[in-house]
Amino acid sequence: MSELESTRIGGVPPGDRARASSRGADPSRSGTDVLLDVRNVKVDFNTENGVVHAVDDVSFSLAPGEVLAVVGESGSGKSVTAMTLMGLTRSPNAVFGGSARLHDLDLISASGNELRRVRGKEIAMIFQDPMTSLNPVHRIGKQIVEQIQAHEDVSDEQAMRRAVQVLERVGIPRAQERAASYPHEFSGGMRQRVMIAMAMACDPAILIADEPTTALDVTIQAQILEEMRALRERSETAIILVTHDLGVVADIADRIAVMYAGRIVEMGTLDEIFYDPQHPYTWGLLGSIARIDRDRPGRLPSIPGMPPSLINRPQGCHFRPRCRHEFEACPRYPELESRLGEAPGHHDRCWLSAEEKRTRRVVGEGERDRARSRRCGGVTALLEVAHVKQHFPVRRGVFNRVSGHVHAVDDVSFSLGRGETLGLVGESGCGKTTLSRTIMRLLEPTDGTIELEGRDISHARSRELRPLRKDVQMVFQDPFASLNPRKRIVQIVGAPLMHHGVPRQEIGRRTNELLTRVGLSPEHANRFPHEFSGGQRQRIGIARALALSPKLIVLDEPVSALDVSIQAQVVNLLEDIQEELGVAYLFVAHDLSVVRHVSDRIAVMYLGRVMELSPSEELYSKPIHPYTAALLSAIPVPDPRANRDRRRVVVGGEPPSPIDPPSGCVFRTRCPRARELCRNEVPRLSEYPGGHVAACHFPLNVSEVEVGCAGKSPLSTRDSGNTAPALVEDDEMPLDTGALA
Amino acid sequence: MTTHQDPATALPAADPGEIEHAATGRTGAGPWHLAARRLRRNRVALPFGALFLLLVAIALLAPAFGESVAKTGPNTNHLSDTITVRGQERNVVELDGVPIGPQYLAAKGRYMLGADGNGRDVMVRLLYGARNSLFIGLTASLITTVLAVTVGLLAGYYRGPVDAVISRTLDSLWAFPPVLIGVALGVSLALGGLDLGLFQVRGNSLWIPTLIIGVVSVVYLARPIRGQVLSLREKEFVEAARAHGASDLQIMTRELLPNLVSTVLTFLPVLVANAILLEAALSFLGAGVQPPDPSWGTMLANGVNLLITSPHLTIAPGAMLVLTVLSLNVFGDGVRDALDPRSRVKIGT
Repeated sequence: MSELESTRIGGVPPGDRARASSRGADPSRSGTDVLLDVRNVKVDFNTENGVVHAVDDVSFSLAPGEVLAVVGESGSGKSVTAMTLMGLTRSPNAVFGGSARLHDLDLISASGNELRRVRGKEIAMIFQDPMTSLNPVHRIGKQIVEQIQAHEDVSDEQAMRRAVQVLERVGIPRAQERAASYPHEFSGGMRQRVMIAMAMACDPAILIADEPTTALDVTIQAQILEEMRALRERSETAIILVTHDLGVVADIADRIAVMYAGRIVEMGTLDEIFYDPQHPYTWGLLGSIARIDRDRPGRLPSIPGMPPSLINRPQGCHFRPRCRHEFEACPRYPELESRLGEAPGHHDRCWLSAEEKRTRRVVGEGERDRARSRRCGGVTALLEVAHVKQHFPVRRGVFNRVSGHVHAVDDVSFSLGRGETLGLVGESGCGKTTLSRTIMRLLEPTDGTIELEGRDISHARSRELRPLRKDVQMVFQDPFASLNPRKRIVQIVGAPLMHHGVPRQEIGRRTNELLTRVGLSPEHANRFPHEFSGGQRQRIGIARALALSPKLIVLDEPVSALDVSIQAQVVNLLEDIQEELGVAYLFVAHDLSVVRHVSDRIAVMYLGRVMELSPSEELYSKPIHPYTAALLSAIPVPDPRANRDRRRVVVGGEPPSPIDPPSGCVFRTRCPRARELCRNEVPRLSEYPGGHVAACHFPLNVSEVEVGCAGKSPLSTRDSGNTAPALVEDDEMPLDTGALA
Repeated sequence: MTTHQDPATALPAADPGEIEHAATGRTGAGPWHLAARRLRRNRVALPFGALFLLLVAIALLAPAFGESVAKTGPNTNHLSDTITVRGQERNVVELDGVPIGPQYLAAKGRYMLGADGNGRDVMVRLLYGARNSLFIGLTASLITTVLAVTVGLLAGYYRGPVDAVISRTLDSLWAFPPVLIGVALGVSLALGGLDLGLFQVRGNSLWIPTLIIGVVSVVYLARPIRGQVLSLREKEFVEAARAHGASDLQIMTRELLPNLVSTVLTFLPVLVANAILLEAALSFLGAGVQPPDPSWGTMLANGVNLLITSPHLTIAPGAMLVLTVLSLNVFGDGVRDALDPRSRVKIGT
């Protein structure tokens, strides 16, 4: 029991954040101010394959008003911990241990009825996906009223008044009217606000937010984080934030618990974790993030290997097999205890002494010397996209009358050179995925031309396309949906070869070669997809794309479904392959940090149009289009100190409907610089110094003179049918970086 | 078609440090292995599956039983015969038309379940009836499966007009009670036989009820299959196949079909059970198996007239029907649980 006592972690007094982030909270106060006391919680699930130790010996305490972030890779037990506090993991196959005291109630052993009284009233929860967590058949006002009336005996009118109040508090405009709307009338960001409002309706003591912004776009994420920060200031509600995004953590957390293989491996204040991390796993986690606030490393540092199985955990320290610093003490399991003299509140599970840790610690040091030369302009064009439009008819009524068109892609032009990587970024619904499907010719463009090595493929018939298919391949976003679950790996990777008439023995040999290339072993050829982890499946997807030796691979969000540590492995693999085989990439993503890392040039899309197309370093250091600037500023940076000083441009609102896009510049409805001209005239793509091409009447970071002489980009002319790849030439304009806001 | 790549593109080996280690589990334990393993552990479904197999085995042994034990055929009348039971001479059919009741083992294996109004051995007819009923049930379900998978794949994959034509046709089939269509078709075909060009089917052939039942049941399976294809075709692996140049036929057979097998397997036992029931209903109404050939349905129909005096004539085929359908349904539930790993089954202790 004495050991348990020593692992207890003091809470942080409320309203005393300055103190909280300076080391060591006052122990006498932390004793009285504990709101939630979680001790040695253990969750096991019996499965066919054995017992999964999902959560093991997790202890922490939470003070009123405190924000505790729980971070870790998927499968680290962070969500299970949070859900267990709500009693949501109870099932015939789950076994619990330990205790979690909230006031006088133990949440672990409480009966269903006791829990029901607490849920919503004392502990509320926000889920990841706002699209599915509201009931679609009830008005949102009614859903909040129901929640209030479940716990309090108030009249309908009173409850509705409260509902409107909380909706106003989370920033829903015209809350009185909107309370009568159904969930489908709200966008994703607004629904997440409604979820927060619902969670806050009964003034809970604890709010559990399970990846609350993961499903949202960066600009919307920035708005929601702003909202949560305001919420924290106003109320005494403590927040348990479960997330994998360390940028979000740096933004709002007070304390951080890092979980690995079901256990907390390190716990400390925000600044301690970010600036003096003790556990090698935390070093790896912090290091493998692609960051926009640092110079681009040649290679992303990654944690080797993958998270361990929770059924047969490694002996001793669970992180041992992936740790670079393993030594003789590691086969014994280290307790979570204070090992840092000057910060008694900081706990970790690593045998190394604090001094050893500081000398060995490497956080995010990539191999800078391996930085690739950027390929930009001057290369021969592989893919030429000119004025491509993709409109989908919207049909209404009994007779399927076409009542409008979704302008998914509107007049997009660019070219891509051999061996080049073009990043394609934008918020969801901006048409980036549609554009990539159109380039793959999975869709036929409504207008415009797509040329591959000079051959127009925009309207080729499927029979004509088939032989051309081997030049352009695709890697998909979802590593689970993109592999046929009923086929063996050899069949999946070999399918493209088979369809192109390669003999059987040849397919086997080549499949083994491909698997080896992507870092899997040929022994895996006879397995089925379900036997692999997400990262391994994505490697299989890459192997399949490489099978026909394509010249261009369209990567549709290839790493967004993976953990950061695995993301880095896959990104590095993609870069190696490009270096060796000279294949060109069209890298579609919403994560601007990863895109910056891999791309030579980046195209920013908004509502079906390209807003800016610039060399990647240029785009990040000197964005020309206000939308690019807004996107960049919305990314939370995993650096708490920088975050505190950073001035943000939070763009309000949400992207308008692509069925009825705004006149003139499509971004004008959210643009802080919009003027009358923007309403009347569609801005043309123009060239700016430094290789920028942007479509804006009032560009940023450009002097008046440059605006005056900005060359009209040849890409924006209507008759560019067979003009040469008009790539941006660095020396075309006097390079004067007189940044002007 | 293109040929294989030039050797210049042969791929170099990966950085060994990046090789991820193999996922746990035995090599190639595919989804079918896992399902079979779950099914083997099911203590309820397996005995019922075995029971069904036993019924099939008994049906197959019908001629042997008829020849060597009962010493009669299924359609042989014994109106004026007598048998010896425990030394006593007895009429197989009394003068007032009441047949002899079940003798079990008393008559050396003859008339174990009694005789019917024509003096035919009920046990022998029951076993021959099982042959017919099971043959019709299994074959009809096979026909249903082939038709439903084809039709469902086409409708779900191509959507649009193809789907409209197929779905509306199925809708109109669905609009009639299957027994009604069955009786209508059965009666008309039994009179005239069926001329399919290449091969003719006589009016009293088993193929007539088989084909009717097979076609009438298509709706039950085609709809879920179509629905599943509609969702599968949007999956990325289908797009991946299209992206590397697979034709529509290749996508349907190589990518989609393997994913439909679990749906088919889940439906199959219930489909067979329903086909057997429908066969019994049609035969009962005289539109299925044509007399004098036995089937459980025709035997029931024969028995109703003598329900009061000779209940064994209806109880025996009725019990067989119940056993068959029950075993198939319980086994079918087990198959469904085994194929759907999310089914809420408590594991171990």
